[in-house]
Amino acid sequence: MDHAVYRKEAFEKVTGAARYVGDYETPGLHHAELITSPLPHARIRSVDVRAAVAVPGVRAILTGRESAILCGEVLEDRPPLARGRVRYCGEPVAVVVADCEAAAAEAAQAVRVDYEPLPPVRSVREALAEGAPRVHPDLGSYRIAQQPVAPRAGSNVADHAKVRRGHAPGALAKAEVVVEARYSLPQVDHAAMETRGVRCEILPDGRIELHTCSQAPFEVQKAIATYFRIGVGSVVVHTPLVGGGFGGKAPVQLEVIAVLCAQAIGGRPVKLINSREQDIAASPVGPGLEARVRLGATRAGRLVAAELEYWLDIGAYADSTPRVARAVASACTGPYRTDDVWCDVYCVYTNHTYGTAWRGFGHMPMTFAIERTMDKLAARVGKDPAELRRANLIGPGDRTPTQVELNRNLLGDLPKCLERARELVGWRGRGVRGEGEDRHVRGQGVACFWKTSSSPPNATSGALITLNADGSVNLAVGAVETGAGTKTTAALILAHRLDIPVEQVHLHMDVNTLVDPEHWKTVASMATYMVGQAVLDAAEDAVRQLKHMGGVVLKCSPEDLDVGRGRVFLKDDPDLYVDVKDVAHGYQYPDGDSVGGQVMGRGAYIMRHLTLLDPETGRGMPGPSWTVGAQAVEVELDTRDFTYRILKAVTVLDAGRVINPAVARGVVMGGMSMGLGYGSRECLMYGDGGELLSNQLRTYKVMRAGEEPEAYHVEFVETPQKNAPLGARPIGEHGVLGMPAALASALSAAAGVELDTVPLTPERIWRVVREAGR
Amino acid sequence: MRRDELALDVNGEACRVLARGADTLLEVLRGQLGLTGAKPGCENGDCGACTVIVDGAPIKSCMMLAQEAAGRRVRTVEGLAGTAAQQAFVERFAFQCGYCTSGFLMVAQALCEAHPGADEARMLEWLRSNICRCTGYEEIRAAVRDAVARAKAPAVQGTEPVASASRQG
Amino acid sequence: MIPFDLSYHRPDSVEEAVATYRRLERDGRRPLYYGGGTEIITMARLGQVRTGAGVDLKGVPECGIVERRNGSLLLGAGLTLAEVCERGGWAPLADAAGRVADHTSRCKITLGGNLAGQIPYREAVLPLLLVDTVAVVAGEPGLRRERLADVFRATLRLPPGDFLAQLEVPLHEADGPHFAVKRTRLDWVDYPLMTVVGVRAGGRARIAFSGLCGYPFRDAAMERDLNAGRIQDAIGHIPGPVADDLHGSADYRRHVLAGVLQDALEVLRA
Ligand SMILES: Cc1cc2nc3c(=O)[nH]c(=O)nc-3n(C[C@H](O)[C@H](O)[C@H](O)COP(=O)(O)OP(=O)(O)OC[C@H]3O[C@@H](n4cnc5c(N)ncnc54)[C@H](O)[C@@H]3O)c2cc1C
Ligand code: FES
Repeated sequence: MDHAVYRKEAFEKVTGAARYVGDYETPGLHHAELITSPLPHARIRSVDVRAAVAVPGVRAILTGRESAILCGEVLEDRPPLARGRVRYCGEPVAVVVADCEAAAAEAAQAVRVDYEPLPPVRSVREALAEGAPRVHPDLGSYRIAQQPVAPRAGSNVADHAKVRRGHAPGALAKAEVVVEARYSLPQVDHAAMETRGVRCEILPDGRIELHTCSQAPFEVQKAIATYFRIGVGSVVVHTPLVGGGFGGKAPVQLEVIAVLCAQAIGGRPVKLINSREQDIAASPVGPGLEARVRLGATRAGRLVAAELEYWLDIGAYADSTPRVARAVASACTGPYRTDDVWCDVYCVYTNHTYGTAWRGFGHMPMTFAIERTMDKLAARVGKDPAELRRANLIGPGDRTPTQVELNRNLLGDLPKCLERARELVGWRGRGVRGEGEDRHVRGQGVACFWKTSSSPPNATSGALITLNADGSVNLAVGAVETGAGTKTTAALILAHRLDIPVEQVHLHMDVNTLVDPEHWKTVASMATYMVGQAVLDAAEDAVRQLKHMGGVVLKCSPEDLDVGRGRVFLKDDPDLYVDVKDVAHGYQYPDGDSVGGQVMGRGAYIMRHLTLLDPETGRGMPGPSWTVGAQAVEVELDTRDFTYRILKAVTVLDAGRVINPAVARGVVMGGMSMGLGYGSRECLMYGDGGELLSNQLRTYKVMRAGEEPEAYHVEFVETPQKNAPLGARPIGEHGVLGMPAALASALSAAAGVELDTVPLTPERIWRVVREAGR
Repeated sequence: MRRDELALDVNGEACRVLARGADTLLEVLRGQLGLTGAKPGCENGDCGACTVIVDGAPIKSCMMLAQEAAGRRVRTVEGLAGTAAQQAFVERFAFQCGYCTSGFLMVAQALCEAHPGADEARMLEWLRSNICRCTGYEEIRAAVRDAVARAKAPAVQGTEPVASASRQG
Repeated sequence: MIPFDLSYHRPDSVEEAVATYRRLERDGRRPLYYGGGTEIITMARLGQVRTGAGVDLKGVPECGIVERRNGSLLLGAGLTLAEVCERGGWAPLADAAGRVADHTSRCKITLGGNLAGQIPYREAVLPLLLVDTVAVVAGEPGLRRERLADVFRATLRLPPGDFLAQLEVPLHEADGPHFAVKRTRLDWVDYPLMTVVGVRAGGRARIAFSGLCGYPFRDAAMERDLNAGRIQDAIGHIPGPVADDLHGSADYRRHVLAGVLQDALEVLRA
């Protein structure tokens, strides 16, 4: 358990044998190419496909007119291909299907769309302004696919989630100290190295076969069944290895278009793969955030009240952002104790690329707003920022904003995380300046985070185990391998329970909804937790069967037996045993007579005791536990042009129990890298006309080698979670959460100004410093 | 659409493919030869996931026409076996989703061959050509450091086949 | 995928290259000379370049040459930037060319292509503008020599059908230390906020810029100011509107430039 175990698919990945959805090419596979909108907001006057149809090899061209489907995980507000109007730059307007990629590409260029530009809504502020253009004039008429959601007809507000605990306005009025701050954070792309893509074929009996690089094949299955009005079982979704997800492959988008394409060519197979430009512009991104934070405290810096307003820039369509809004609401104060909390989270439509889940489900920008305000509060009350945080950390016995009473099991050990993070960064407190050489100054920043799953209360996961004739085990789970090592971890948990080497656990890296047990979605860092429970349940089932067979063979009661190291043995006398391989497929007596059959374990897990948040107060249980941690950053800033180096980045989080240390560390470090990327360079940039400027990796910059911190420090505190597999808490997303805040805090300390947005390019810092007149 | 026959030398094997003049080496490797280790990540020269080795140099195969590769020696990740770089990437956990891995490996391999024992600055300059979205790069740099060091000490190189490393778990 | 087809030609002499180009031109194929192809391929995919034929210059022996001749360096325009860095042997050029794109891309981008491309930075030209570089141009009657300063004004201006075959750099002119800095919005691999390359020649600093305006340039008035130590005056003499784009604002560029010039002068006037 505690030593490094290579990923099960490691050798495929270093030899090129690992196959992703775009890696399959067969004769007869058609290619689809999207035509996307160059404008953020416009009426579609006409689509002229005459020249495109004339390209040899073109089989079909579809526009929004050919189907009446409206899509949306929560609110059905989005046509798969724009209908009548486009609402963002990059919105799919039409799709060409041809017998080869070259013909599809050529025809796509020949499609002419005539647009009548409409005034674009370029920001949350514009969206909420009096008389703002309506992104969705029909907002009131959309079907709600999943409650809760509260669209406000006649406005650009797609949803509003609330937390009302105590009376924050009153408490704030009485507070000795009140700090107020506003933040504006841009949208962020997932930029997984594999762009989103899908293949689809419709069989003669109507069965839809989809191959998609999705984090949620079972959600794809249900969505397609709903949209195309067929039975769920008549949709089969296959997901091979996925080249990075980060939330961006949880929504359902290209799959719907691919089914329409396949239908248009008589069910023949078709492949639709995003170019990088489309992946950034056309497929959903992480929402932007505007925030207004008011924290009330005593003169000594003890928090007494918080009034919080968050506006998510969800772009043109809602997708899963109402769920993001509720996740933000449930964690709205950050991991701090406050009795009076009022929070409003709005999903606001703009003419930006639409939003969806992004690693951390809204917590990263929310944490930025809270943590930066905590720094301001520390300055106001004259306390060390880390000390101020320590004094306010939420703990067992406290209640969360949605009124869950916490205990050690629900919440890891945050004080310990913070203490260790301080040690690791070599915390020297506020205003560490002048320590670098000549014009270089250093600064440090710290941030704390917490997060729970905010998953649907009925999310499920399953596991199936079959035994091989040599006693080794096959494991089938429905979780997708996106790179986080989920499948390997599942194998490890099983190997641990059966007390066999992990090499004896075999699993397939793909997911096939026809044969694999359902797993809700490989998101919210919940795969290990949920799959792990299912695997343990399945192992229990298999063990019970093995013991039963053992009892028959060894002529004793199954209760007397145990299973491990490939044997079913007598607890009292382990030398009396039968090999698992001899009972795995039934037992054969020396005379040939046989009993039993193949041992197959089945396991299932469903979330329990979670509840939807009350629409008025937010009261409810959003997840099975909260993962907590502390992060810190040290930078060295050149005060001449405000370039900087990141010297240290620290994460200490309570992992409950670390299952595969090298993999766990890697996942956390990767999250940190991404968070530093958002803090320093990443953002979707729009021009004055609302046009998207950064739709390539040439302009949407992400971290490269050499830009990582000079030292990463990742450590784990282990406070086992009793109801979790082996005590392991979710950790997949968390490395990202406090990094932008800690970076901004460190740079603020170094520059001597308040840096309240990202990305913190040198120019951004220079501008703030100049405006502050320093 | 016109497609002409084209002779390529890929991983030491003579291959014949049918390609348009406008087809990139990446498209032909993947679509015609089934060598899908090289990945499209941007088709714009930015990400490096499509990197192969052509006559010893790392090349982004999305920026080379297939025709341009005629008469030159092309190597893809499928042509690597038991290299120090592959082994180091496994041992150092230098990938998660694996999509960028072939590209990084080809850069590492080209570096090992052209500059065994390369210094940190050169290593970094070569690695900046590629993007990884999952790791924090520390693991990749450690792996390449190992590989480059092993390339310098040929006695160790390749003595341990990659597959044996799986035993560690 | 490139949404149209093109034919690929690889002549192996100057004459054949020119003849091939002219023939394709006559046939209405709108040919392009093809260096590394990085710009042609990536822009063609997006429909920003349309051509029916590429005439690859890498098979032309003159284009692959690296030679030293009495104090001058002769470089083929078909050399890749990686080759220019490793084998060119002129530090200012290695420093400037060595910061274009990324290493792997530089194994493909050619010197000629970098100078002739549409992407406005053309950073490799900067050091070449600092000395009296000769451009060896190929055309109908064969190779001819021109001053680079005459054929490269913001962009490479050659008559249609001609191509840049070689560059002859009089190394002896630059007889002091050199300076080369590329500044970006933040990332190491990115288009320049500005790239500034300077040499000392005959006791005076010569400095060329990319990224500052929409094209690379060297400016006499700026150099006069700089040699007199008047950095702010030099900034006032930038010969065109300062770039204001997603890499950085004009204001910030001016601010950064002041610091960079200060560093440059420290090196070049020492
Ligand atoms: C990932 C990436 C990053 C980049 N970053 C930078 C950067 O930081 N700084 C920068 O300056 N540029 C950058 N560029 C642009 C890059 O420099 C150009 O793509 C490159 O210079 C083109 O060179 P090439 O040899 O590939 O030219 P090609 O694509 O072959 O040709 C480009 C143009 O030049 C013409 N041409 C080529 N050779 C000759 C010749 N010998 N004589 C006459 N005409 C010729 C062609 O006809 C064509 O019009 C980047 C490009 C990429 C792909
Ligand atoms: S696909 Fe070639 S560099 Fe990204």
